[in-house]
Amino acid sequence: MNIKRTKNHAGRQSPKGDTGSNGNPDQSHESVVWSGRARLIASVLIILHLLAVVAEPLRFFSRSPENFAAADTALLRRTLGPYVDAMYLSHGYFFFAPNPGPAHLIECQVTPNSKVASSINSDLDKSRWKIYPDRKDQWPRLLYHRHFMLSEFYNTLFAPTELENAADIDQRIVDQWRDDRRIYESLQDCLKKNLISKHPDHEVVLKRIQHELPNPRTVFVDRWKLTDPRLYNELLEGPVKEATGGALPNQLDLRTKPPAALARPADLEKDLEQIVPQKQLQGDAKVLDPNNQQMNRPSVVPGMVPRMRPSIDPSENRGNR
Amino acid sequence: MIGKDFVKCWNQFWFEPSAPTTLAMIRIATGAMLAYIHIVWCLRLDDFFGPNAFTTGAFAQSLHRGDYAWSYLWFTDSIPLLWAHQLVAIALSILMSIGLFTRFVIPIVWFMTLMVCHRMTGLLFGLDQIVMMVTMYLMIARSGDELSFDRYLHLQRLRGLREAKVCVPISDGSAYNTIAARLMQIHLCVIYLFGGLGKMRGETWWDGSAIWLSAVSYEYQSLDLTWIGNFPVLMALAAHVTLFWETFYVCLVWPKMTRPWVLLTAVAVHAGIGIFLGMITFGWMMIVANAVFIEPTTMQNWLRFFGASSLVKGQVT
Repeated sequence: MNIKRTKNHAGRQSPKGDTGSNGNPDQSHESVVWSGRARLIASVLIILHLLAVVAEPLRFFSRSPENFAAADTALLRRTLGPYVDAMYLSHGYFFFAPNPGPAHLIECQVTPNSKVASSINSDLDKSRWKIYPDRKDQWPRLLYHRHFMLSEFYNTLFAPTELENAADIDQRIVDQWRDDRRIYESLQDCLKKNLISKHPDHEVVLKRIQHELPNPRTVFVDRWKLTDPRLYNELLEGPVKEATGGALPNQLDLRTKPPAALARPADLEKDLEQIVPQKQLQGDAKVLDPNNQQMNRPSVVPGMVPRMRPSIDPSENRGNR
Repeated sequence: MIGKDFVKCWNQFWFEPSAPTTLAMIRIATGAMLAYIHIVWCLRLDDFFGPNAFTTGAFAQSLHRGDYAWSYLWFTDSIPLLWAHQLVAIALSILMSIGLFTRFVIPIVWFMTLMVCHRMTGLLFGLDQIVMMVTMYLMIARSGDELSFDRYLHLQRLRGLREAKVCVPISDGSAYNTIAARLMQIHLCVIYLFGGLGKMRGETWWDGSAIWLSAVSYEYQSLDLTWIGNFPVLMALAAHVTLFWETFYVCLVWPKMTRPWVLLTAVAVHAGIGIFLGMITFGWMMIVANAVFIEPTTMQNWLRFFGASSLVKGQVT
């Protein structure tokens, strides 16, 4: 680029011997004036860069249950893909949106190998429990947040163990599910190996836990604490029972029982509907509205190839900051 | 005629030289944050990067199959090597913060952090996005021309030359600073615009319950904010202010009349996120990024007010 160095106004000598803005008489001031050609090249690069900045959020926002992305935004994203990906610009900026949702944790049960064959109760006695994230274990806060993102990521990557009625579903969708399931299991293996490296001769079971968000009535009238065991629910690994319209199930349907690590009282081992006040359930249903989930998990429509794993950035999939 | 006016405005907007004072302040804060981020990775280096990491290099590589992200950290899990990498990154981040060899150091720090980002996919969040965004634009700017050791060393050389009666030019500003600041400003507007549009799609931001849902998210909570549930009007107001402020930031931050209010709201919102939702690093970096809308002259006046005038231009003694 042709860039010329010229003296600017600050460098002009005044009759009184203007010292310029830096107050030193021994120095002249200069400003770099760019030639027209240099400005033109820079302008083109600036425009291309700004297109790259908006490419991913535009694609992300133009998704729908029917389309992976609008045709124009998909073209833009594809064209600038190498630059967007390499420069770490592939963010949807979907913070706390569309609605703040429940948090997801990983419960890790580390059990000695030799005890596996014995009774379940004695197993539990000998088991070590670990939760990601855990404020007591992970400090400072940024370290805790890394673990929190890991648990959200684990949940984001989830793909059920099997697809019910897989024979009736488009083969491309089944292939996509297989690919998603393989990635999810890879992460599962990584997490297990990490724990086994610290606890040799143990085996590890991982569980996904959803921490529901209580409504004001539950907190102020029913006096539930935010850490009340009844707010934690284990999510099943599948299979998907209802694939009506091809949509992935609402995670409320995947609940089974509360996590053992949270020492839930025996009298609370009932169906969730019998325990949680009706309004609470309504609140949960709102938070986990399948329409909202569609933002993260586009429905499967015959003829379209959806992306069951929408983004590999957990902070955007659940709208975290 | 209109075309000429447009070109003139375009050139003025992008290429008119400007002082680096604001960008220098941003550089100091960002360098310190980068150092902190790398230090925190080191606290559990084995868990994050080692052979038995939460996400191994091979797994990270498989996540990026089909895209164009790449990291040399996918190919090593050697703990001594990773320690060396992180210690260099920390040292260079500190150099960036204090402004020593700034023009060389910032691109290296950015690249090393980029490699970590592509390696640690899945454990990142908004903080990483903002820090990388700011650092990317600081690479373009001449932020080391002020509030830096580079400037100090430069002045030392000038004194020597002055004694030898040599006339030495000093730049009053640079178009690189303007380009960097403008890109950062527009990128920030894009972030807020899409952040706001995303919230517009959610009903809880409209019925006001989004603030409650954020307050009762225990995993985020650092200070108890559930008391806000007793004040539904305040909750709804906070949700609506956030919604509209974020969406219309792109329009309201440019006029001088509305800019201070928009920036003050940014400070309030991000300080709130930092204090109550436990994301002090993210909140702080967003406030730092918002500082790019403060004029360099205003920043210089503030520095003079706080007695740091010798660190900025106009005070070569």
